[in-house]
Amino acid sequence: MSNFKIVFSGPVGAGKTTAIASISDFAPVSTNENASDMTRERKPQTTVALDYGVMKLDGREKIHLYGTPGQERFNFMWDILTSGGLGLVLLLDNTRKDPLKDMTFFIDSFRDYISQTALAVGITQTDIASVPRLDIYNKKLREMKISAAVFEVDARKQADVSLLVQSLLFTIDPGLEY
Amino acid sequence: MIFSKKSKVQQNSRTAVSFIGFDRRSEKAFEIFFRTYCKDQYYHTKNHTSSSITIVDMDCYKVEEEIYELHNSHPGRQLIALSLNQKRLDIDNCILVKKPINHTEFAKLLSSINAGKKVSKHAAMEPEKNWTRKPQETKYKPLHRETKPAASKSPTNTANAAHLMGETNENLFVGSNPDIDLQKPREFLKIIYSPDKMFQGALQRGWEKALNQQKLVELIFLSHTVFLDGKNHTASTALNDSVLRPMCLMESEDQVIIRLVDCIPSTEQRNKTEKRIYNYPIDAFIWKVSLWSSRGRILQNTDINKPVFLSEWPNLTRLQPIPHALRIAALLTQNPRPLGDISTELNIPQRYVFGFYSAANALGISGVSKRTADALFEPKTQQAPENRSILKRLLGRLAGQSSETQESSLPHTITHQ
Ligand SMILES: Nc1nc2c(ncn2[C@@H]2O[C@H](COP(=O)(O)OP(=O)(O)O)[C@@H](O)[C@H]2O)c(=O)[nH]1
Ligand SMILES: [Mg+2]
Repeated sequence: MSNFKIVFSGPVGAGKTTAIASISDFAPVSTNENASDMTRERKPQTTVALDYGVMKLDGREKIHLYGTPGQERFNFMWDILTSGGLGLVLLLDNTRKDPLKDMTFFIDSFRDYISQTALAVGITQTDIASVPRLDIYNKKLREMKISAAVFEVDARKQADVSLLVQSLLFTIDPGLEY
Repeated sequence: MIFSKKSKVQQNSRTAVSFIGFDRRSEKAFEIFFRTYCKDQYYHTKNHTSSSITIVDMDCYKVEEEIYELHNSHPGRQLIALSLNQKRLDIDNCILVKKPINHTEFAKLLSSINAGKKVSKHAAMEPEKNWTRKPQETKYKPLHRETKPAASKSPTNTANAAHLMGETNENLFVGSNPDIDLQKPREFLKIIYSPDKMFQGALQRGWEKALNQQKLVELIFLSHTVFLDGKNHTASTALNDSVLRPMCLMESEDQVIIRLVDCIPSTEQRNKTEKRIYNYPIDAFIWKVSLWSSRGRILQNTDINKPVFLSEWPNLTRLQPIPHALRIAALLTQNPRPLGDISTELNIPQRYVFGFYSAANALGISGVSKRTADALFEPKTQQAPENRSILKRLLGRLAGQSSETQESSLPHTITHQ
């Protein structure tokens, strides 16, 4: 049985947990720690560990959705995350100090993976900060010779997240049909 | 345990594993690994006393002390030490594994230990690159499609893609022109339009002015006004769609006044009938006006045989949806192609491609390529059929999700005055 995965990454607060929750079949197994944990002083929504969600397809297949802040390039999680990976959904929080730098950082650290699979970029919190605008992100991507859809996304909106993931699938294979 | 609370009985038949030197994130990864790759044979415990195997991250600072402590209190304990540079540990019952870890190999290793088999003390693993797509040598390759006769370019093919549009609604944006024979130049007349002579052209000129001067521009047409804000990249108007759309279809020639203004007049100064103001991100406004104006046609003087490029994806989550926009964007961002080829390759009516192109052109992200078809990016590989079937089913699910809510999250916000 195939084991397909989509990895959601991006800085803390970019909307990974929320985005997975928006399209997962069950409330994501958010591994946010509870109050008994030593990490409790962090803000409650912050992802401490790993988000996990599933989309069941008809038949027996599942698409696994993983959320990760992307620090595990060299640890155990990497192989688990990337084997059978369809691609990377990179979420960037437009209210952060330098979201373009965030983008460069994440693309650099996932570069191998992206070059073998596909990338889609969602810019979140644009309702709060409208700049940088998308053309700036697109320009940077062209400089980096990376082809990816860049959409404004509100991670709380299923339709937004769904369109972004669809763009990832079509980037993998534009010949796909509904 | 995050995934499921297993009963005591069930847990007893499984092997308990404890960890030293890992953060919670990695521990969670192991839990997922145990569940998905090891058929739940193992479970994570925080209690070293009750575990049979302990996995250690050797790259954790000062982890050795903790290991020796554990070894002293539980001398027979099986240890698995993971490290980047195969640090040595002077301990029996310790297997060294070099990072990065290959999960399949690691699962085998665990099961050998569990079965009491003898295992080599050094297990090096190469990470498995079991990704769905492999790099490809050829630069430009037309899409290989599931072959279907051309006649199957049917309405049903587009019906699903148009998920959120009724057929009449769709006509407003992409028209209803049948495909033309692109070998016959005389037929071109049926598929061209002249935005310069229409409201669309005035809008584009006005926006250019607003943007260049970073100021507010007012467009006046038939005593209606639209304000374009060059700083905030917005358009605002009291016109609703039922007035705006017919305006887009008229030949306006030079009747649209374009002028710089200092501020948007307050409600009192404006027509009393202007009860509410529609605010659009400028791209959403230009996109919609261009679709209404082109109705599935392309700009006059477009060389239909030259490839067209798309320099970036339109911001499709915030634009009026049209059928197949995602597919067209995905294909065109890979390589410039002639418009006719796109509709053939995607097996869709030409009007969708033409409408998309006209709107993207108005946004300034698409145009006729100066050079012949040159690859901007390495084209993506054809998927294996079984992958394709899964991608297709996933797509079907996602399309259902995006259709339900998208109309309500469309661009404009309404300000009640
Ligand atoms: N205003 C606004 N809030 C958002 C948007 N996307 C996500 N959020 C919120 O941002 C917060 C952080 O999201 P979360 O999923 O926890 O981020 P994570 O750290 O990447 O997992 C949550 O409260 C979300 O509801 C957006 O586009 N706009
Ligand atoms: Mg999170």
